[in-house]
Amino acid sequence: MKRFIKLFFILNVIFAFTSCSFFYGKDADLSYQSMFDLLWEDYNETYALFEVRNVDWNAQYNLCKPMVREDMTDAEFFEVLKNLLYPLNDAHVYVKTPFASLNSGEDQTPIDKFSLTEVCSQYIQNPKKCGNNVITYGTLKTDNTVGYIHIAAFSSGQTGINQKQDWASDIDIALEALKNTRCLILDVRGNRGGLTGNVSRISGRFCAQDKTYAISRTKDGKGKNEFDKGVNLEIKKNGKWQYTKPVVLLTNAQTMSAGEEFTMAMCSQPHVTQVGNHTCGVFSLSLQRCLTNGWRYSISVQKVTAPDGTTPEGKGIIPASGNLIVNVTAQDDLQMKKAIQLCSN
Amino acid sequence: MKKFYLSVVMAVFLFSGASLFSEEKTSVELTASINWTFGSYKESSFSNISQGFFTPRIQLETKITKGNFMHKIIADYFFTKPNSSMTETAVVYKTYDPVTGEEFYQASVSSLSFHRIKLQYDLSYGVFENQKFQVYAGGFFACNAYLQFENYPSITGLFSLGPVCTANYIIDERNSLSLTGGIPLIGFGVRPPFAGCSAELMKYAEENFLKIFTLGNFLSIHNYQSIFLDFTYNLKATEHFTTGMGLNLEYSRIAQPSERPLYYVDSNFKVFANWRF
Repeated sequence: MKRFIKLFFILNVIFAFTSCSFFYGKDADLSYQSMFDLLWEDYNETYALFEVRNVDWNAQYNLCKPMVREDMTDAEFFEVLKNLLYPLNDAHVYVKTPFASLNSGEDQTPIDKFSLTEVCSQYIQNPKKCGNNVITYGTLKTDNTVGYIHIAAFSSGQTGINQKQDWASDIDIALEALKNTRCLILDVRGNRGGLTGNVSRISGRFCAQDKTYAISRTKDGKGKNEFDKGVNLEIKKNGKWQYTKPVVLLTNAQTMSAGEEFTMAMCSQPHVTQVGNHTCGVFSLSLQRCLTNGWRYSISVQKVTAPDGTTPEGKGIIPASGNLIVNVTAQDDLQMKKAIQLCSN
Repeated sequence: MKKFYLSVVMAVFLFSGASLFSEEKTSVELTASINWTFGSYKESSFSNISQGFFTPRIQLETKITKGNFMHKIIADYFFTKPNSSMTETAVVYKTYDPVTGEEFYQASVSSLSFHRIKLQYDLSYGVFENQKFQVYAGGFFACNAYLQFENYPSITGLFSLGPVCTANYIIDERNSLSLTGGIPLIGFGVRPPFAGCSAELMKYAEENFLKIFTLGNFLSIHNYQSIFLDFTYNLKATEHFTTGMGLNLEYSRIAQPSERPLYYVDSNFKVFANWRF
């Protein structure tokens, strides 16, 4: 019987230790050449925006592959990845390593000057927070008939496959407090995005007309033009009532991703005026993947188009020329001043 | 394919129902086991690297023998934090705080977790029996879930059908061995899309979770290769109580989408207690 027990143990150990290499091939190749090829190939198959971003990915391979040497350091390999990925100029394309990170879009774009702390101290009477501190709201110090809401992100805390998060419902608290204002400044500057479900929840409170504002198609195969049939992104009325009095929507170049979807949704409504700088121009779902050495990288896997077929990817949502304003300093917030001026008219 | 699949499922349930209600001698066995599982998986819609695990596991089994029929229901679950270069590497990322308007570096480690859930029903018929051997052959219906949670969830849910065979070897009055093996032949499964996640999946998850099953595909051995084996040694302590140990092996490859399969392999050592009524 002892022999039999031993046999069980031995069988188990042999199976466990051989199974990985048997089924998956040899151990992961950690050579720089292999990691470069894997990353290039993954983008080649999965990245959705080469055409929109006007990047010849094969040419990038030919340019950067010769820079890869096996005797290079991690830091040097990281520099090669910068050369490979920077031409995409996509803020949803990043690489995270133990010693540094790169962002293909943000590293090449200056940050718009904005500070919520400055806005609150200069303009807002008794600012309050709700929704896990994501939402800040109040009225103007100079005119309590003008409301102000800042939404810092469209996700907070743990995200699961079900996108709705409890905090987003707290927009109801802010809106109840500002129900009697005659105009609202809705600020999504610095909002780096989050979940579409939260965009729907919040934008629905400002919806005068149900509308499809965009179509999102996800990469569905290795071919350059293999996309799924797509999903309509819609703004639909939500909550007991909707705020349909004039709304000035403040955006800047750090309004990204779901923040930009929110901007698209809001700009489809007749009572909303966009003021500030153009948004970042990254609308895709950004999915993080992993290199064999543990470094993370992210890929834009979707192409978002407006109902007329044009894509704001790379350009962002741009305010009308009179409302296109760039702040020089966070202390002198020209965008906020313009919004107050519009609300005064 | 859909009609064929549904008719096979219906046939299995009608047949099993009929056999349960026949008036023959019945014995019921309940088995609970404590397990250690080691193995690995690769969710290639998420990453090109394999995740290894070594973790405890829970299995419960009910076996009903009535005449020549044997019904077996198996519930199996484990949760693990897998190991790979990904989970062992902390990374930094430069980000931006809209409240202060300043950039800062944020360090992060992977929060990867993996759940494996299996519910299986086997219906077998005794095709051979003598003093030393018993052989049962039949079919099984299984519900399998492979759930990975990290930056975004990668969820695989499968319903499958296939043949199963059990052989018992009676060594002596107290000791016996059994071997069970099965191969899923057809199934229906929901897998992450090619890119790992899609707007459609997220929309359905938000509106109605069950609607995700409409994104599933029919599977057969061209895109779903799997085998499971179960060896056990049984030591009969009393008339109603048996203990023992065993080894389960499973290999699965679910190539849906075809370019981004899920590979899964595990080896599970178990020690169990069995009560017979």
